[in-house]
Amino acid sequence: MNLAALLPAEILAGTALAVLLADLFLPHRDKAYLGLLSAAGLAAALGGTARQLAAGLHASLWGGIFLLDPFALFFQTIVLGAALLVLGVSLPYLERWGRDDGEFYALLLMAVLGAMMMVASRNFLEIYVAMELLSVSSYALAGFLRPDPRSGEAALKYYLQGVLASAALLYGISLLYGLSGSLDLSVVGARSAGSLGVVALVLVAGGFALKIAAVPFHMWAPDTYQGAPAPVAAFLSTASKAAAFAVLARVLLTAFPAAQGPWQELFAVVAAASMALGNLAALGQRNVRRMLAYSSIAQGGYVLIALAVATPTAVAASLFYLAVYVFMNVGAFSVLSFLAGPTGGEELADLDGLAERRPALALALAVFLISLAGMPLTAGLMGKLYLFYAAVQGGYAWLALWGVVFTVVSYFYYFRVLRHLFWGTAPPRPAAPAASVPAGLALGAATLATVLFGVFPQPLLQLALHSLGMLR
Amino acid sequence: MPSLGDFLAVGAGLFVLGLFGALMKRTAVAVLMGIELMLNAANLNLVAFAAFSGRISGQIFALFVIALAAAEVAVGLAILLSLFRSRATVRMDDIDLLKG
Amino acid sequence: MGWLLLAAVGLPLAGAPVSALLGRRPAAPRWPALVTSLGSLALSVAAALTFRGGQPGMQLVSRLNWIPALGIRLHLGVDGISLPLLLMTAFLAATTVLASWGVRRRSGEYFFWLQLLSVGMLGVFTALDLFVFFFFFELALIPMYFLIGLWGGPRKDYAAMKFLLYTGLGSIVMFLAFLVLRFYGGTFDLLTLEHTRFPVPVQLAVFAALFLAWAVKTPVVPLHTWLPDAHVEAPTPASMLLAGVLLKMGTYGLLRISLGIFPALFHAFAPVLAVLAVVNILYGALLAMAQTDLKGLVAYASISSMGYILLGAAAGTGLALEGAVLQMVAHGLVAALLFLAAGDIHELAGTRAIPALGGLLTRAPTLAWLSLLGALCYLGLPGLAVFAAEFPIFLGSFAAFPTYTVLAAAGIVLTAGYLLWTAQRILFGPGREAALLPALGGMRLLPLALLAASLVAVGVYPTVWYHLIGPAVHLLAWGGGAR
Repeated sequence: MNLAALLPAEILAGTALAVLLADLFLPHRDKAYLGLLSAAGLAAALGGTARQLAAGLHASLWGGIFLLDPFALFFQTIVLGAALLVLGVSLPYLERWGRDDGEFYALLLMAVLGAMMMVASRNFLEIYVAMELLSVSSYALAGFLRPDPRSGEAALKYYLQGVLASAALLYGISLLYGLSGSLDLSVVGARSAGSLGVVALVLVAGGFALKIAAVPFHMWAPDTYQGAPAPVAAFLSTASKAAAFAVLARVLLTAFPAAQGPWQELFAVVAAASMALGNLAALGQRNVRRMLAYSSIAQGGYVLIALAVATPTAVAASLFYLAVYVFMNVGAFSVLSFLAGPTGGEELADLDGLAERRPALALALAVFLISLAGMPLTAGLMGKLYLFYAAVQGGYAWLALWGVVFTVVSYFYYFRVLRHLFWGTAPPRPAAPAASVPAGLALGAATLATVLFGVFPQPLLQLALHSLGMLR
Repeated sequence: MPSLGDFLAVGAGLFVLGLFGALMKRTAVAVLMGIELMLNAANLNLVAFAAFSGRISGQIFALFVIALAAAEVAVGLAILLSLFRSRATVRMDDIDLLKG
Repeated sequence: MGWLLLAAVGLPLAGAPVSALLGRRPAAPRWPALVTSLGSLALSVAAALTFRGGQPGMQLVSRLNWIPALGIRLHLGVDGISLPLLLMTAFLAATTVLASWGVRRRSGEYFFWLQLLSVGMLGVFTALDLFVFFFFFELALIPMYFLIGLWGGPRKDYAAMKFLLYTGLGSIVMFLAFLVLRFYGGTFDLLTLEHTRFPVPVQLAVFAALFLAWAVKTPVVPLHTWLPDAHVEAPTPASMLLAGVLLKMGTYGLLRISLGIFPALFHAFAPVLAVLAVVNILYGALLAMAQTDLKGLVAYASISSMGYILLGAAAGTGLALEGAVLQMVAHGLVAALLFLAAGDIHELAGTRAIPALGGLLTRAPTLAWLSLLGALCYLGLPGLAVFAAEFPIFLGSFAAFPTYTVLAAAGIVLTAGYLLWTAQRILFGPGREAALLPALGGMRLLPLALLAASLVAVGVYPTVWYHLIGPAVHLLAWGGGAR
């Protein structure tokens, strides 16, 4: 039964290994098949996980190491969905950069595997191991465009800050182990009081906060999102962030229930700081990737409101928001990935007149940006509606006001991009690369989902509400 | 045999030392060394707690950490090497292509 | 019959993508826009005919489940206050399409945004659920941003962004206030909330936040600085809708939501509102006098006119409120006419600068006469729409605020002053304009003529409107002396 429940993960692991092996033997021109193989693996895993979620699976595996409850399954679906979109977009991207080796797909699959296992864990050892799998794969992915020194720099900065955070996390876990004698989240929860427990909480929370790119552990994000390959940035800003958020939520609610008041306030401050810093810093950015990075930090701030408020409505709101956020942000980075050239091509000026050159791309980007801003007819508005309502309902109206004010600040930089897209004058440009079917499909799906959930959010809201599982 | 407190104190000391080294960031390799210190501080804690309470999970965890730390360092050095090839420096101050 | 309103609001939403897709052939996208705007107008008229006048309360109600998780329903309906506004909006939307008949540059996008804007405008006046109200209110912002930014004048970037940020701030604060109402009242439904009691601190906070939103939109001095820029830089049809409809969303919200949910607080606030109203009237008029740009003049004049609406709202007598509602309609029609005329004059003469214009009567007589009609209506000539609205406002406000009403009447004098002076300069006298392009053809004059006709229609027989507006207003009125 244990093995059957983890079938999606096993499929993923198997596909990753198969891709790695095949990569050794396939001639270069057949490398595209590896991408398809990976996509098949991801799709199969996604299908399996979605089935489990729909069936309301609630299984504790291997004596409590894994807990496959609707909460975990929801996030697994999000991560798998994000990875599938990213994969579709990376196929032409890697080809253009001449780095379409099978390793990329294997790394991506393994990163997804790590994320999946992480959100389903109830044991600190498993959480740590899975997170390391996600992290190490991510570092390698960030530096994947080896000839480009910016990619290497992106990877290095992410790496250095990432391993620092995970070392701190580990130390915090060791303290908790000492306090409670166990690595199981619920047992730790019963015995983690006291000042040493607070220290441990800060260390552990900090470790996850880095992956979420929350202030003050956000410093790596702008550089890494800017220098890494665009699909990798898309993955990091969505799947990786969502998985880390899920684990953080689970750890806080299960392992630190006694300290709930303090950590709620702590995260209220973190959320507010992230919203403020992310939105304000984005105002001055001329590089669109960097702007999106700061925008991601701000969006993370909005989601962290849920941890500040910590009511069931708030958590459900964060689930909904993260789900639609995947579409918006992967979409936005994906459009940039189509435009990027070897020497950059991601400044605001490079987007001038895109609406005339490549209307479909411009339209897609417009939809994503309007959704990130939270305007009607897009899923972003519904997400903000639910989050801010949860804040008001939970007694954190000031946080909602803060978020609302900074949302208006964000109008400026999102709509500035739209200005360049739609009424900049396009300089003469070399011919655009040919369209690619999988990338087009991914982009189209993301755009459609953003608008669809903006007009009919109810099904996804319902799913989020039902996925609260063991978290009250 | 030193008491549990002694082990924890050494561990804390190692952690702080490692943190200091990692945050000073003179060269990337120095940062890595600092991080290794921090990881081993945690390992020390785990093993000490395991030994003094008769549980085995701490020791198992420490074994995992050793293996994972090795993998981490391998990736980190690979990244560093790749960067060194194109930039010819490991001084952190010089690695600044990506600026806001 | 609930589907009538849904159809009226939703029709342009169907037409928008069609226009966008037809973008490759520049003369094609205007047709779906014409079809949907006339369709919405027809549906609105049908709704008006089905409406049983003389009864207070909402009619033609539709309630569709939309987001059960938050209790949000697509709850639409009209009463005597919103039905005239709905008719005016639909009429202006259609007129604007006609006024845009010559647009060829990126016309697919243009008519896409125009229709999307219509959805927002029509939705605001029919919404009975606060989230739905906000949804349509905010929805109108995006198309206007694009309309100003893509087809606007020399400073369009600045104007568009200023418009977006200012009005965006207002509407997002309104959104937060609605969330608070939802929390304390348990629902977003306007009609239910009207009967809910709220703790006093909550009332104060929400009322203040809402007033901020209305004040930005109306606009109330000193939050008005976005308006002149937006109006002047926007393309003519967008200016028509901006002044004609978007400004009314603020005053409508003031009456429907603030007065509807917090009557006691509104009464207490009324004296302050009256002062703000007078400031609007006088300040707007004074600045309009100083304008040399024709569109700028109409923009500041609009600020002034909104003051009359605010005064009537503040007075709170049945008569004053009825006048205020009709003034919303009347000003909408006449402002649209004046902006359209300004745009046409700009095209004919190549300039909007008043000192450079003159002799229009001899060069383009029809345009000149229609403009004159508009100007005369604007200053309150009896027999035309604005008088029919302003007279009851004055009559009704005098009982409540005699001094302010006298000051407001002074505003009329100022308005008459600058409008007549400007009209005399532009219309009469020897021609002073630099170039002269061919006279306007029939299609260009059609929207102008339609607007002028509407001014006469409303002005000559306002009773039919007051029969409609009266009962709904009396649910809200609190001052003495009903009609």
